[in-house]
Amino acid sequence: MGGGNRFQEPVRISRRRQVRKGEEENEVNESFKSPNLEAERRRREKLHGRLMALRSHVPIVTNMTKASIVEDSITYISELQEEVVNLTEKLHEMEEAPLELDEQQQTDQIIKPEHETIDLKEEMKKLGIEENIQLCKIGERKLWLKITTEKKPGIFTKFMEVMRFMGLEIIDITLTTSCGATLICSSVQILQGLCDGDSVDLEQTKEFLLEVMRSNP
Amino acid sequence: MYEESLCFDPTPMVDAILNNNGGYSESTTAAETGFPVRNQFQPPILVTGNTTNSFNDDLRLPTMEEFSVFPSVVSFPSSEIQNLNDNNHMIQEMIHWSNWDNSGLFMNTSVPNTTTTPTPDLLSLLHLPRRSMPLPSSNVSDILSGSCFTYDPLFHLNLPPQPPLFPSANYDYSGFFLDTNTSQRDQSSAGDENNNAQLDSGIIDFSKKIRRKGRGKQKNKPFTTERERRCHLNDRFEALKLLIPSPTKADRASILQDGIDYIKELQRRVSELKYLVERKKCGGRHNNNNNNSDDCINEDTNDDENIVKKLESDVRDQCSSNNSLRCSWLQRKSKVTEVDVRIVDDEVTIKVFQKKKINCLLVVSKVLDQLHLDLHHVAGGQIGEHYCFLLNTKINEGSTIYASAVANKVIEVVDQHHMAALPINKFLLLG
Repeated sequence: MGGGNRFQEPVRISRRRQVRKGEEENEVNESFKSPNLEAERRRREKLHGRLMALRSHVPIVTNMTKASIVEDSITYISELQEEVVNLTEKLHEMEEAPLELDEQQQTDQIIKPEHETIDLKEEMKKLGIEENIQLCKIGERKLWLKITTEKKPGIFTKFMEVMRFMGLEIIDITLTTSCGATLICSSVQILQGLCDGDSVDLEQTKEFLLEVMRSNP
Repeated sequence: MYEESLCFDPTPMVDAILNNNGGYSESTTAAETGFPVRNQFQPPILVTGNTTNSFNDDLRLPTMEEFSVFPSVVSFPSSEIQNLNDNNHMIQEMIHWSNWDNSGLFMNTSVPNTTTTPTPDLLSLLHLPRRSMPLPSSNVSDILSGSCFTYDPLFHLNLPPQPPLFPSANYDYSGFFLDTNTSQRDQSSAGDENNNAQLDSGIIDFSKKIRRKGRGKQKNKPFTTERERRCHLNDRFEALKLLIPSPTKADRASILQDGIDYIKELQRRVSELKYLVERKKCGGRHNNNNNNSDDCINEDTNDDENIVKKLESDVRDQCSSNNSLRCSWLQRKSKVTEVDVRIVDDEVTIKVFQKKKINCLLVVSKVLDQLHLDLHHVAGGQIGEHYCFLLNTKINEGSTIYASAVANKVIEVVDQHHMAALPINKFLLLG
């Protein structure tokens, strides 16, 4: 019978016994036992706290055991996932099938953006914002540029395309829009291996940029 | 009750055998059998779970003849011994564990005192875990009534539970919490195994009852062993981990935390989608903006249309009177990218954080064009080795874009770009 205990599996219950034993022996062997004890207690409390938090988020119905909490949360998560899928499908269906009354609304929509763009241009003129490009060198391979242009859809994409085309890597960039105008301030770095810093022709680059920004896709 | 005979002390026997002349003073038969020394008293560890009675053939243990030396031990009729010799290894096995009984007793005599016929049953009893041999339960109980088995005969062998024989995974030879419930027996399908179950539970019954120590009823719970309970709980944690999209750590606390966050995210998504669906039903326009709805109602001449539009406007008013701003927040993470999308009313704020220096702005802006998001503000740049950008956009009217779509698309595109861009960068650096 004595041999049996040796082969007892490390059960959680036995761990508790060990812990209690540890507490008793605490005085005897403080430096060794207590740090682990504290850590283990904290770990258990943390786990327990999280389990309770999980439970608070889930509308569980069943028992309050660890296994059932986790199990119920699994059920709930799959329910939520199903619901998300259903709602997404429903939304897509609704989008694809235009309602009859929407047609009038759509025509209204088409009219509106045009109005807006016209307004924007006029605003720009009113405020005296002009299209402008500034470009200067701030380091061996670094350039600084500032672009003021008309706000158009897709202008940022254009700008990024140009940067990539010219082999300029963005160090930082700020883009703001206001009153129908877009302002882009950026410092860029010439990618290594493409060309020497000296040979970049600023004027040419400026003109190229201006042309690109003005063009309509 | 067992007969306490001489404490079987292996060493003197070994020493005796080492006297090469076979002068084993206490037993003449030893010389006859001349069993090899080396293998005789090897510890039972030899017998591992893998071997199915594949005992070392060289291993020869004293047969029953030799046991007759010890006066208190019951000697078997020689005819039986002949039979037993054929199954020598079985005996060896029996002797093995009995030899190494920690109490030092030799032969816990489950060896019956009376007749020989139970003996083969006993031997087959020993083999039950290895072979599915039919065992009449009545004999077993007879044997066990006089047995002193206080432990599972094979426990020290550290056998893993053997599934082919026992369909229920309940059997655990190294554990002592085997419940003797009928549930175990119910679970085992074959008749043989049923007998085995009875037998085993019979053997362990003693020890289990002794060890109960007032731990309370276990019969009401669905699990019979503590191990099962733990396994079940671990399975649950694993299942939860599988459900969560991007688990980073595998420990229980992190799984729980990720689970909580995921549940919250799902709840947000569901509410956002519900809002969108309802808004779509109400006419597809901003319900917060009553002016728009007024514009729509203007052109109607037909009475029917009037009524319909009136109804619609009522519904719209209801929706708008909710006064709920649409808001949602999502995060998506991948190995090198993090995307954070927040939607408030019609403004979408996207934060992209990239751990490697890949110029992702181009692809991001393309995605935004695709999604019909109007870019209002961008700020960001390189921070050390990383890129970080914040983009403020506005949703075009009428678009029913939702947060998860934005986030998923952005992170997908950025990751793709990252995968494509890496070798190119290296090439440029070299060239």
